[in-house]
Amino acid sequence: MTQETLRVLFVDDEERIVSLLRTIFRQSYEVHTATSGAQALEIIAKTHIHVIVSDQRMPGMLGIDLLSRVRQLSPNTMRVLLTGYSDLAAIVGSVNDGEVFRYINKPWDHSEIKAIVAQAAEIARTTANAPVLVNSEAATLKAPALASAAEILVIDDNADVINSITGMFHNVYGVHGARNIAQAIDILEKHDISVIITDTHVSNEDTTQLLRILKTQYPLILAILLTEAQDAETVIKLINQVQIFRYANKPIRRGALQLSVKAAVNQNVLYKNNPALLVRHAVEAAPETALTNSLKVSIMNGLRALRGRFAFLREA
Amino acid sequence: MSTDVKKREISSGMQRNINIAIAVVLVAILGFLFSKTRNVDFDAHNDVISNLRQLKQIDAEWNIDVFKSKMGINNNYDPVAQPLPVIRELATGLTQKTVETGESAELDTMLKSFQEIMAKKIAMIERFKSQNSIYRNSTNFLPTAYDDVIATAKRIGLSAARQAELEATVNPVFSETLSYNLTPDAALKDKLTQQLVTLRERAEQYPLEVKESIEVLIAHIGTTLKQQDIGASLLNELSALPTAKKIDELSDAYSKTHETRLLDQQFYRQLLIAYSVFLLALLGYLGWRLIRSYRQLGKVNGALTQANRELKESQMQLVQSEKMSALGQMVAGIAHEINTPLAYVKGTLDVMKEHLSKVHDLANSSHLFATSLRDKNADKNELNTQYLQVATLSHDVVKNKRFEELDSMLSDGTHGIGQISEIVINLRNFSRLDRASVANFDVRKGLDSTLLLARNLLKHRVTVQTEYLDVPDIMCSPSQINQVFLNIITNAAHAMGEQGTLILRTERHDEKMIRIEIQDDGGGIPSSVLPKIFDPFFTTKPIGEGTGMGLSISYKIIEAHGGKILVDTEKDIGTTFSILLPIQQKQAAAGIIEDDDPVDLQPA
Repeated sequence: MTQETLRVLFVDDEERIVSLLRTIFRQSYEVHTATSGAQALEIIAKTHIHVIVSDQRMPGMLGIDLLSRVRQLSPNTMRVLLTGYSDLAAIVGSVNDGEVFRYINKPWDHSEIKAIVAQAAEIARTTANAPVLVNSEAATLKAPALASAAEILVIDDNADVINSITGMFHNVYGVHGARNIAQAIDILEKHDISVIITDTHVSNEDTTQLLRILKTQYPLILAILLTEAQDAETVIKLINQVQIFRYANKPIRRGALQLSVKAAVNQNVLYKNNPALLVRHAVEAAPETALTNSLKVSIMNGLRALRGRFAFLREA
Repeated sequence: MSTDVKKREISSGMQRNINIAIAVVLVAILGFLFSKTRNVDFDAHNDVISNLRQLKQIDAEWNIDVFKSKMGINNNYDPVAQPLPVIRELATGLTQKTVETGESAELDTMLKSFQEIMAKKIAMIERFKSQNSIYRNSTNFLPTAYDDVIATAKRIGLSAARQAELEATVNPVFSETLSYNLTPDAALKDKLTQQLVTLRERAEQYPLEVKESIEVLIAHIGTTLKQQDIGASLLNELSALPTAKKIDELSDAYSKTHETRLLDQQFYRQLLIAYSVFLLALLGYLGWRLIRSYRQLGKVNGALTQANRELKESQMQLVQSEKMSALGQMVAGIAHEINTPLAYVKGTLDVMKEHLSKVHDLANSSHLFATSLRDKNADKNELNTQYLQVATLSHDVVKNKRFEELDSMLSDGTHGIGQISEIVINLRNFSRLDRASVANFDVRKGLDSTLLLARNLLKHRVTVQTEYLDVPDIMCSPSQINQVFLNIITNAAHAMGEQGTLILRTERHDEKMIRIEIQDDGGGIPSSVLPKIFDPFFTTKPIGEGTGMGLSISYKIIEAHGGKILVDTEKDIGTTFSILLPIQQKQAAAGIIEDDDPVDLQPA
């Protein structure tokens, strides 16, 4: 078994950072470095890169813009954002436009960065030739809807939100509304849900725990976060632990949300057809302490019914 | 807004004028009514009435006097002439009073006709007086004339018979005349006229002298008769004059007018009372309004005071929040600045730890191998294994240039720490919290440390040029001056957008001042904005991004230092802020503070 050389690209405007990263990774990977976005794109154009790790704040081109370009030029390249600057707009962009795999804070933890790069590289290797969807706004607009009848679950304690989303999609998809997590689990048991639209908190319960368990156990379901909260930390956590598919701000912007849902439904169809791809959205192991045990138990019990439905995943 | 104020001023001015006009009208009405109630002059009226009464009495007495004169009871004419001045005086007084009190035209004509009649009466009485005197003269002369006839007859020696006959002829005529004078009777007058004719015929029979004296007598009797007639007719006419009636009429008219006046006055008095009540009510209403206005004013004033206090508080809060916001931006920038070197210092240490574990392994195995080599009982295979391990490990260290890497990582780490300490030193220089609040300060160093703090903002976008000319240190509060520099440089960075050049200059302005210029090539400040840039709360940044206090605080800081901020801006060319600062501050603490206990400096 000849192991393919795995290529990693580090981008940072600070020379010393990239040289340090080179030192760290050069024994395990073929390391490429760039000190600007333009330089990085040149390398991407010439060489197939498995993992790109980019700084956010760089002259000329921001990290998030670079990753968006990379997603379109080389969709199979796993994208990681590395920055010390928590700028919400950048983070939201990294979700919606960059579909980043991970978000690493500077200064990084030595073993963490090694593990993330290793995981990303492994995923890139195994899914190198798998089909991909380029979910850019323009591409999603043009793309044909892959599913005609998908089921959507909206979890929100505000009935108005559920009603307006139902009104927006009921012609195309089956829309289910849940006012709390118990209702949501009930609906998940009975229906084959493809996309979940939810806030960070519903009826004073943290939905992150539900999403995290769902993502670990049933990664086919895509999550769209619809929230008023503008907390960069929360979004980072949701990227790394839940792999939320899209981030949308309340109040709802119809066009943006419709695009997000369409992209999510298409992605869901793609996963069903190519379960191998799911590894691309693997999430961080959840810190166990963060979970309330009782809640976890109730969620797990509630989701037992789902296991049968996704049995094929374990075989795959 | 200013036009609004003007309009309000104009309308309030108009309102004031209208109010004054209303007040004047009200007072005028009051004055009018008051004068109307004061109009009736009782004294004048009483004067007039008593004048008229007096006149009437005098008139009546006068008439009696005239009759008396006619009857010969009054032998002189004084009583007849006496009332004249009194009448004139009264009439004149009456006219004056009438004019003074402004009586009606009707009264005026009545008064005039009365005066005319009075004048006529006076004239008639004059005529009567003269006529009566003629009459009296002739009457008084009659006995003399009779005696003269008798005496003449006797003197010329007329016969006794003829004398008796003459006496018998003349005597009845004479006596008849006397009786006619006492009781003028028409039959007697006819008889007398007849007797006179007879007497004149008989006189022809007497000698000339007698005849002449008889004729004198006849002439006097004729005069008496004639004047008696005239006097009678004059008296008739006089008594026909309606003076008394006129006076009564006049008196009545006066009384009537007076009564009308009294009625008028009563009406006006009532009106005045009603009007006074109305005015009082109006005054009460105005008073109530005034009290209400005062109360309202008090309330509004309270609210205003409260609002003012709140405004002051919120301004203080804003000044504070501007500080916090500037501080927050600075902290975020500094955090990022420190974060990058921190990231690779930490990364470097992590990698070095890995490397060192390999070196540690090498050292351990080398030590073991060296010890084994000395050991004569050492197993050859064991030695061989140990040798191979040392060889592999040393090969790894040498081949992978672990020491070179360690070396370069050490210098990278040192460099990173150097960067961090540079930032920390700058922070310290910038805040100057560990230094005296007022100190000798090189503004060039201040600009440099500010630039380093703002580096995060300027990096990759803005080219910074420094054109420092030699300037002396100035006495100032370095942290405050740095705050001003940071504020202006931050604004300049925002003004320049994606690309730009920032030029910093220092120069000696004059003997007492230095000049610092901060020039950007941004879009410039629009002329509509320029006058407001130093106003508190003024900002062109979106809500939540700028407090609008930055330049206002900067202005205050420079002003407190006795300096000036000047702005020179041109559209699409850029903006230059010039700061003038005095080299020396005014000596504030030059006075001497006396201690409570004086120190005795004299040797004991």
